[in-house]
Amino acid sequence: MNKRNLDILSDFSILYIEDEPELLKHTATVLEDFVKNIFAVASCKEALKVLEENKIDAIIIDINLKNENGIEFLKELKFEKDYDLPSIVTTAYTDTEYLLDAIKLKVEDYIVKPINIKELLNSLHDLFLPIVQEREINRSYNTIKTISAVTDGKKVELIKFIIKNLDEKSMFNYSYGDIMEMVDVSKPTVIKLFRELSEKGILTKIQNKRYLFNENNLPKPSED
Amino acid sequence: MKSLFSVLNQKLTTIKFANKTKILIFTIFGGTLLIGFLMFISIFALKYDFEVLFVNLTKPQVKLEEIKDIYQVNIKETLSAIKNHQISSSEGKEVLSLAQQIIKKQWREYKKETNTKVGGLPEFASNWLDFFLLKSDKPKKSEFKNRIISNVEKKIKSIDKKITGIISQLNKQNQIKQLIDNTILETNSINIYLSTLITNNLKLAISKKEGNDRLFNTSTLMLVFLISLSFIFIVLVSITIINHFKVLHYSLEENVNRKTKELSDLNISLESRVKKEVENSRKKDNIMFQQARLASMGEVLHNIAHQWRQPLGTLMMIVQSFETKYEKGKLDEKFITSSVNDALKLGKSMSDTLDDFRNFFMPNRAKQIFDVKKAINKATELSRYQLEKMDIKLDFSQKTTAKIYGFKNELIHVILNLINNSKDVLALNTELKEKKILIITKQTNTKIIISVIDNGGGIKDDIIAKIFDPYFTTKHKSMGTGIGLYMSKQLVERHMKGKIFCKNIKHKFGSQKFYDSAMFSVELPIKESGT
Ligand SMILES: Nc1ncnc2c1ncn2[C@@H]1O[C@H](COP(=O)(O)OP(=O)(O)OP(=O)(O)O)[C@@H](O)[C@H]1O
Ligand SMILES: [Mg+2]
Repeated sequence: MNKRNLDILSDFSILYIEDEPELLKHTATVLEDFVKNIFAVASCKEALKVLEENKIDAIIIDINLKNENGIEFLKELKFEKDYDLPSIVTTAYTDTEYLLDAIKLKVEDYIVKPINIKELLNSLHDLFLPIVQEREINRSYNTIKTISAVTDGKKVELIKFIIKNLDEKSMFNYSYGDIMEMVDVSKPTVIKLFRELSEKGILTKIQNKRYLFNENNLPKPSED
Repeated sequence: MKSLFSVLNQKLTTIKFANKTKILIFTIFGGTLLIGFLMFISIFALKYDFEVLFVNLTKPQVKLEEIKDIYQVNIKETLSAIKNHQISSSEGKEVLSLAQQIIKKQWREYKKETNTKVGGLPEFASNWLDFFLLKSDKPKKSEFKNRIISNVEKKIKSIDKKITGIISQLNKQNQIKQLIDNTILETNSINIYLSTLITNNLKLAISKKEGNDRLFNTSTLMLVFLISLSFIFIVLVSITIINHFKVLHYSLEENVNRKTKELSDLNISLESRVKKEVENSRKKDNIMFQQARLASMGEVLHNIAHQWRQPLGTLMMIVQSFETKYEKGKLDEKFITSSVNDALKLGKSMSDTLDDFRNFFMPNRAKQIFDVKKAINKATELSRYQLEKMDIKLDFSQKTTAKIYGFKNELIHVILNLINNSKDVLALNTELKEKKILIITKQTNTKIIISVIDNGGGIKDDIIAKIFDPYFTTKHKSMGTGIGLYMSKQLVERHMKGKIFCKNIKHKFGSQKFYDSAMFSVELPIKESGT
């Protein structure tokens, strides 16, 4: 996959459990630059405490902990404590002893030590991307709804109709008459909107009843 | 004769021993049988001849003689007396008729006797022998004799008739005078015949006797021949058999000598072989030590691998953090200093681990005086990771100050073996809450006893006698080779001049409870007791 936008990680808090103090410390030092919060602990007990007191978005846990087992802890969290958090496990073993358990637990990724930090960050990205996207969609939807509440409702109806009826080549094949039959708008509104869109290069007339919708000419949404 | 003998001898020597004995037995048997048979036949033949001689030819002469006498005395003289009237006619008559009867009887008997057949086995034997000796010239019952006999018979009859005539005409003296004279004449002539017959018979007997002599000579000759032949043959075969025995004896003797030599050779080679085997077994031991060394090397390597893996992972993380910090523009002096410091510390510990490993496995290091405590600590250090992993607590009293002279690595090796064995037992024990190994030392002026005790339950009674044997193990193939204790014993006894032994004891391990425990002790002579 091409280069990921790791910036999306900055919205999330992560719990990191590793019993080797040096490794814990240095990995946490790297991760803290990318995520909102990193909670680095050496045991499951500490981890539980963190979970209770903070909002955690994902867990990174080592399988082979001193006197403990990461997979067992994840099971406990999922089935007994009702924490259903996405998780990544790290392990010093290349064997597949825990792989099956990990798959059953729907663990997001399985990282073999020594840890490649890029790999870990990419895993985190892939783990968070759907969450980010879902949020984005929600937001867009709300934006539209908000716009239609404050501007001309008919225009919004019409734009919705156009975008909904684009064919696979981004062509819109309807005459004004067709449009007016299906959407409750007046002809002047239709003409006015088409002109506006044509001026901005968004909807170009190719021939009669054939318009090309040009996505690239849409204005970039303001960053916030 | 000589050449025949040698040819025979040669022939005989080529015959197999078994056949030779057969021939000998056959010869003895056959020879004896033949000789016996021949003797038997000869005896019977001789008896026959004697019988014939006596019964047919000699005994009847007496009769003839008697007849002759009667003619001479009774008849002739009586007739003369009658003629001269010296006796009465009745007397004469009586004498004459008596004489007549006697003569008749004797003649009959004579004839009967001459014709008696001897018969039976003797005759058969004689005939057989005659046939065998091709003696066909049987003396004929000569014409001559027959004629004489018939003449005698005629004369007897005519005399008889005349005498009868005389007797009947005794009264007429004149008439019978002539007759008497005639009769006397005839008596004379019959006597002559009888004498001739006797002579003839005697001659016959003589000739018979000659035949008999011949028979005797021939059969004697044959017997001698047969006896000497069998004798020679028996001697010959016996000689070859004896020769055979001699050869056998010599070959046996030679065999015995050879075997004796072989044995002594074997003895000599055995000595050298035993030497070689001892050397071999020493070599094997060395190989075994090497194996065991490799095995524990594997274990230690495992240890080191693990001890390296962690700092290595952290080091890699530090290296990567430089990149991410740089990308984020956060690569400041503070970060660099602390990270480099950490990295160096990690590197140092890794290097130390490597040194441990190298020191332990450095081969053929010279003997030296070394600290027992340090050696034990090194052993516990080398097994630390695996003990930790299995949650086994190892406690070492650290009390001793003893120093011993020898190979430090070997003592480390021995202690490591004992710890490993304890670890193996404890690892299998799932009921035990606290798994413990205790190393204690006991020291006198001359020796130190190092004991490794574990609460794994002790050594089973049925195997305790065998645990120091090479390749004795109760563990699965992949787990143990059974060399550990054997090698430890060799090292302790041969190299360190010490002792190693084990015991099942009960020990508290600092708790309230008594645990069944195995205690392995190594007793070593002390070189010097440090301060
Ligand atoms: N501490 C102990 N407690 C109980 N049994 C023991 C103990 N130490 C040794 N044994 C018994 O003695 C046997 C022989 O031990 P040894 O060290 O010679 O061989 P091993 O451990 O089986 O194999 P290796 O040491 O070659 O890997 C072991 O298999 C075990 O049954
Ligand atoms: Mg052993």
